Amino acid sequence: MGTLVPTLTLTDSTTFSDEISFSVTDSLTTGTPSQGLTKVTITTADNQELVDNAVSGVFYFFAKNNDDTNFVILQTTASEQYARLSPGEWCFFPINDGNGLEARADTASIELEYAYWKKG
Amino acid sequence: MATTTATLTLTSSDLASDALSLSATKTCYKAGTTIGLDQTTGLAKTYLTAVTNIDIFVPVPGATMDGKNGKVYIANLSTEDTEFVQISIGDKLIGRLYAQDFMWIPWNQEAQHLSDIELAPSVATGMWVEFMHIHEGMVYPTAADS
Repeated sequence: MGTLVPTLTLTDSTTFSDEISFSVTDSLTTGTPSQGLTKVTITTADNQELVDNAVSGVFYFFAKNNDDTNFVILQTTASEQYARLSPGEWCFFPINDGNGLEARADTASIELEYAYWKKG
Repeated sequence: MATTTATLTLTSSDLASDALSLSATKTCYKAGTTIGLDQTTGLAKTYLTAVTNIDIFVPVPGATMDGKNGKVYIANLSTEDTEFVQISIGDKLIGRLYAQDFMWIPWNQEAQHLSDIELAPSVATGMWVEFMHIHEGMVYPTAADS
């Protein structure tokens, strides 16, 4: 068991008439298993599973696309695509129990950093 | 120039033997460019009193926005630990946001109905949720009066 503290900060003072400036923080109780920060090469092949759908539990998932040029697709372990992570971008979201998660590069292999923690 | 910047920090002193202190920052760009995202729904806050699965942003009316970039923020503002909102993209269940949890995820408006972002509260006793979409464009549904 441990406590994960995620903080999201969004800022923008130039794009809209009303400035965006807010921050949210959470305190997440986590259990096992967890996957510490990991770097992997994601290829254009299908079925590169990062979170096993056979492992029960809700997982808090972080990923960052370290590539300078190409995006990476995030999908369920049933190959249902739901997000494209652009070059340099990151995401943080919960993965539902039994869903798992796969990544697949679109154009060329990319380097992905990721980590996940099971909800305690 | 549009410069929406998103920063995530993840910290923990007791997850593992080595303390966690991670920070990721990125300016939000239009797909395949270094031009900032310049459109937004604004930050919305609403009180939901039914467990109905709803679209929280304008439903994707076609495939014309496929490949565009957008970022979505959703937070469950409930303070009851057992209350959650279930987030889906079309029929693809993503996950549950429990009380005070939030998410930040890219959104590709791939195709009609298949990629609408949907939210379903776990209880009908009332839950506050907050959400925002920062994007490079969307197609609004044609108005109908009957």
